[in-house]
Amino acid sequence: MRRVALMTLIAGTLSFMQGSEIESYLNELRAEAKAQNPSFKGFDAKRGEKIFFSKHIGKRGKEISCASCHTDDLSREGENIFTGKKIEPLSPVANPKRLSKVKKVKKWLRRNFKDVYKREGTAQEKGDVLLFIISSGK
Amino acid sequence: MKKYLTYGIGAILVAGLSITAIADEDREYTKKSGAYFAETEYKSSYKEHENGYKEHHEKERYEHEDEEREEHRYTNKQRLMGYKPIYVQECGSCHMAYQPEFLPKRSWIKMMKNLDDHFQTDATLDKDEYKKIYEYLVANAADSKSVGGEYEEIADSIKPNETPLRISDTPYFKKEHRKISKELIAQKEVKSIANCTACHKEADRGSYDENEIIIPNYGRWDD
Repeated sequence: MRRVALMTLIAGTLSFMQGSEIESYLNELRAEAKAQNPSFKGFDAKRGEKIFFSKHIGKRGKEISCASCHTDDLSREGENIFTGKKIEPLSPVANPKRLSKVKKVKKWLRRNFKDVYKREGTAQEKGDVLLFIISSGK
Repeated sequence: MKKYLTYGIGAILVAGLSITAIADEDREYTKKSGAYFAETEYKSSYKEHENGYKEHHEKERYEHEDEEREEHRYTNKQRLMGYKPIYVQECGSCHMAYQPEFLPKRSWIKMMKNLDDHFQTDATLDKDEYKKIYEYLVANAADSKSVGGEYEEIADSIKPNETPLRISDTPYFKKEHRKISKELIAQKEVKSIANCTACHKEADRGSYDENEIIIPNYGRWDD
């Protein structure tokens, strides 16, 4: 019995370490969101979907949304509307490399929020949109 | 026996949990990283910007070592070639990773000093990437080494008092592309004159031969 419990603990720890990068980042964001808004209840992929698809006057005064470059279907290849550069699918289901490096995730959230919203995303917005991306293509 | 097994597993668990808790490769150098790191590592080039960035200043002193290093940088070919994939990965994520040989040092330096407003986008990098890309660009700039072909033509056409940020702003480039209609450039398959690979099929390899050109909805170029 004790052995089984130990094995379960190890398995649990190991699997925790597997997806831990993005999960620990989401936890960081949760703490930040809670600190900024005490009534924060958790991230919401539906809110994230709105963040992703809503249009705003962004870079170069153009009316754009995240979907302008990443397209309406996150399992498809996208294209940078300013340069024509091809963008690999954003959905981690279609493209397993996505969301694997938190450094990269942070960088692109910073850059792309500024492109579309002309400001950095709040912790809640980042978490919402990440949850939306994670759940896309499922 | 059982006791040691238990202690062993316990030790691994503790180690694993601590690594997970402590390990954080991310460093928040995101705010104005472009100008910030230019300031700390390459002081001689940025004296005039010192005042602006003093509040973000980390006192890393490489004063004399800097000059000595300068010489070694350009002879350390292999190390610099290792930086190329970083440049291609970071700078080639939104547009083609233009060959550094297209522009003089001063243009790349100016570009790297203003990454927070890179053609109206935030293109800032973290400290490590910034340093490597900076070195790679400066070492391979048109006036840092001997260049030939298109690179030489473009470099020779740039006036010494000018610091173009766009390759397409150089006199030679403009001359070579003067006969291409605005419509062919604006079409969705091309979008912009900065999109070399749309027509120059071997541009990623650094080749811009006329016989490799295929303009979408037009065909080959022949003059």
